[in-house]
Amino acid sequence: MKMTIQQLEGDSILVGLEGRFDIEGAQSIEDPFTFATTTKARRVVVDLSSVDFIASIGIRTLFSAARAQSQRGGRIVLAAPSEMVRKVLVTAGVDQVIPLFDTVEAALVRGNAT
Amino acid sequence: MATQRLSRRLQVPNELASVRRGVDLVREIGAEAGMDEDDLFRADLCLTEALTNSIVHGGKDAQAPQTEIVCEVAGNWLRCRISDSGDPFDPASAEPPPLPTSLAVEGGAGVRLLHRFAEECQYERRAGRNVLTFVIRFGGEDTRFPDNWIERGPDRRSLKSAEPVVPAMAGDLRPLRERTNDDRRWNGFISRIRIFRGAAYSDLEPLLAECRRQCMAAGEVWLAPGERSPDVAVVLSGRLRVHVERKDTAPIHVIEAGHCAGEMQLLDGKAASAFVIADVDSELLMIPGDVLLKKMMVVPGVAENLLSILAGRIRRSDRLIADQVRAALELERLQRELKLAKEIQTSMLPVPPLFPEQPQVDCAGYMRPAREIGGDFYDAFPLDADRLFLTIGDICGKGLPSALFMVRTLTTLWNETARRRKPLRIVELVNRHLCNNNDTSLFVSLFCAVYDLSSRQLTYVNAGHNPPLIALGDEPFHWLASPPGVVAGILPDAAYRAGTVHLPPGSRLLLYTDGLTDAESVDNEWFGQDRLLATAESLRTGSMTELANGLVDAVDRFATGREQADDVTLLAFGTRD
Repeated sequence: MKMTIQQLEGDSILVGLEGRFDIEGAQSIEDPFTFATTTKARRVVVDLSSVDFIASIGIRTLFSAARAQSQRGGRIVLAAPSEMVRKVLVTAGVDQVIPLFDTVEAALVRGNAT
Repeated sequence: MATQRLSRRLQVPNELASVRRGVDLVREIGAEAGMDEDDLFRADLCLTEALTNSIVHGGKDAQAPQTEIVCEVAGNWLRCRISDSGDPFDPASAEPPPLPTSLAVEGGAGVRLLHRFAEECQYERRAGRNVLTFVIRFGGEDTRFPDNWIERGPDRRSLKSAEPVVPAMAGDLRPLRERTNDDRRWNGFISRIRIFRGAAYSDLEPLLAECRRQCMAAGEVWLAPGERSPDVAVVLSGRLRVHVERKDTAPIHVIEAGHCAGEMQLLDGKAASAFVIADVDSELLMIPGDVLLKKMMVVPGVAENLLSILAGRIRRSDRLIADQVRAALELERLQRELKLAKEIQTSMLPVPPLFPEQPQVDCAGYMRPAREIGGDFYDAFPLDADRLFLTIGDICGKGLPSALFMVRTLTTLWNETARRRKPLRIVELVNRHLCNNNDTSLFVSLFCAVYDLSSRQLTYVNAGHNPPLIALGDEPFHWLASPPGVVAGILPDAAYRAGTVHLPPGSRLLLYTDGLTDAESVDNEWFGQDRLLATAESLRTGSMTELANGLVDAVDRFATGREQADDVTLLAFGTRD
């Protein structure tokens, strides 16, 4: 998997993920992803638009980042999953606890406001 | 057209890279069979979950550390079979865990995904190996479900939904030969119910005839706290949710199809402690308590299943209690801090008597905070030997942010009045300071006045505050006209104008906040400006303390029976000979 980090205004970051979020994918980004999303309280928008596959291990990675961030007082939101990735996230109940937005723009605007 | 048949087989070592090889295999055969992207995604997901699981759990046997993958297509059906030699683990009938309701719980997502994305999912322990089989139906021409693909279980010819079609009466028994497919599907479903897992169907069959089926509409309450049910309910389709204390709180638990509810209240003989409500339209199998306790418990496997369900439930409620204790401690700490904040806020207001060394004036202030910490304030202090400063303000909103903004407003006022004498300049500068770093967009309505003892002139500026009442000499009270000005904290360059009025001896100035005028009676009527004017007029000839106390009494009488919604604050100022 590939990962990009874009600094946004304030202390927010936009983390872009690309590729298959399976066990190999999760391991390949684990260190940088954990570092970027959990070391300090901030707003993190995870752009899933280029993730073409996600398995339960990927969900676990998102979960632990969101949990660490909520303990620190920050917040993670997910944005722009493909239709099938969204189906997996909803089936696993991710949308019940991590805000999920259709577009990155919506995540930036509404994810910050609420 | 002949039904297409394809088959691929692969042996992989128990290492992570094997997941990718298995996925390539299933995607290859799927593409050849004409699966579309979404079907390929489902096949990929199910295989990834099954294979990840098998590689993680299946690698302990050094003799045969291999996982075997067999993918077959018949018509528009795909079957994948993953077998490994690890310790027994059954993801096909492992309980799909409840959906996470907070970030504190998760896990088991893989099992849930397998169950939801495959049409069929089955686990067997065969010749010392774990064999997991899943079946996916993909688009294209519908063909018959291949014979013998799933060795036991229900007929799968019309696989429209995963929910079983339950015969009219759960207990309707038909001789074996007369049974319909629906009967068999129902029988197959029974064996997947958690409490009956592993029990022989022939033992259960006569007992199920003593149970009944019950439909519940979404939102219907099956059990409420304090109630008892003679039955244990098994969810056949739909789901139940469990709420503690109130129905409108977040559910603490969701009971999915195949799982049961009500066994605790049955076993301990006490009334239910929570609401159990149908989350969607649901069908329940009601097992009478005595059937469960006296007849089913002796069926091998059932007692074991029940104990394991109870153990899980006890563990969950222990966790819940720990969470509640933690939340209660946290709340107590917050309340202590809020109380402290309230005290700090009140201690910033002046201590009476006000202006004790000035015999020409009489001044009294009053402030009573609402239950929730708020943001009203008043202050009165001399600027120098000749000039007295009076102010009152009301921060928008309530809670800690407003209280902190009130502290900021007061300290800014103190800073500016230390160097300046003109209320116009003071308000302009306070406004500009409050606009800086005001991320929360709070604002304050503010009235500031300076009274010159030698000239008896009152110079005042009103930044969006309620109009004060004034009585000049012996004249009655009337509303003091002030040049308009916006509330402070919003526009850094807002323009304000000052007004002046001459106060002959015996004059009174009454500053107040909308906690007085907006006080509500039990008839939902406001105290209002007319009542305020009339009450002030009736108290005009008394001292300022009498005026302040009289007004507060009048408001309290008016609002008897209602909780004080807002801070009640006023400042009364009078001149003498």
